[in-house]
Amino acid sequence: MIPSDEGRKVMRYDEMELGEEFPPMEFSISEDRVRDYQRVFEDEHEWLREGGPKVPPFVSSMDVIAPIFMKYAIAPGTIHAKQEIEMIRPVQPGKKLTAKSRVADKYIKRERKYVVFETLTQDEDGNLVNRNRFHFVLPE
Amino acid sequence: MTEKENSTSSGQEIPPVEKGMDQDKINAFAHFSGDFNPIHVNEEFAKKAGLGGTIAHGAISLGYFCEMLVNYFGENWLEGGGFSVSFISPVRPGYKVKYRGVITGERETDKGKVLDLEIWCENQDGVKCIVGKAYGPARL
Repeated sequence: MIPSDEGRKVMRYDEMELGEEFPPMEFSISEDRVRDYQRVFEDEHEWLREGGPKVPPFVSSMDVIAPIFMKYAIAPGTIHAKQEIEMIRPVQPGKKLTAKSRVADKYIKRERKYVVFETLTQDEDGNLVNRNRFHFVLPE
Repeated sequence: MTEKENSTSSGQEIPPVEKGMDQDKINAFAHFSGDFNPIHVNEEFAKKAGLGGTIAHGAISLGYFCEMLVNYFGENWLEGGGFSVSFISPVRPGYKVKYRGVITGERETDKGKVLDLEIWCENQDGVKCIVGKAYGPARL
């Protein structure tokens, strides 16, 4: 979940440093969060069935972006240009996760300024559960 | 015991997912994600930004790609599945969007056989909005 913009710097291409790391974020995904996702997406899969509770892959991949937005606010006009998702282990609701993010790349292509954030998410045993790369085009 | 595998052939299309897009869904996702970038939720801002009106968050479509891939691969997709997509044309309110995938081949990895796919989504006029590649474990 992206926090409100209050009190944070707006994300600017020239201020992003390649390799910049963000403080790790500990979090968990509740069953209510899964239900909210299912309502918004009209996803009828039985994610929360007895004996097989899992977090939908979209939720476990998207909620990990928060560490970046804890530091930077989204500049109005930012465009989500590309996304890479790698699912490694299922995530269980309520279990502690740790997301570590960094600026993995930044480049200019066709006069558009791209920043790539990579997030690795681990479970409480230190196992990698997913890897995500978010490519954004930042406005001037 | 021999592990069961998806019965597939290159060129085979997997079952698509079809979803309508409207501003209510975009607003609901903004609340779900905390992403209130005005290009998604402010018609005037989006027009001034040259977008012709609000556009859906790219992340909404990521959720639908996940749904399509879980429908096909099952929950195995949460352990060894993934995709990479580029957003090439906005998904707009009023669109009827079809999320599609075609198997392009298979390969052996250290975790077993993996199926590769081309994935994309297109609007009601057949215009592609998002294109990319996906993969998932062949085992059922």
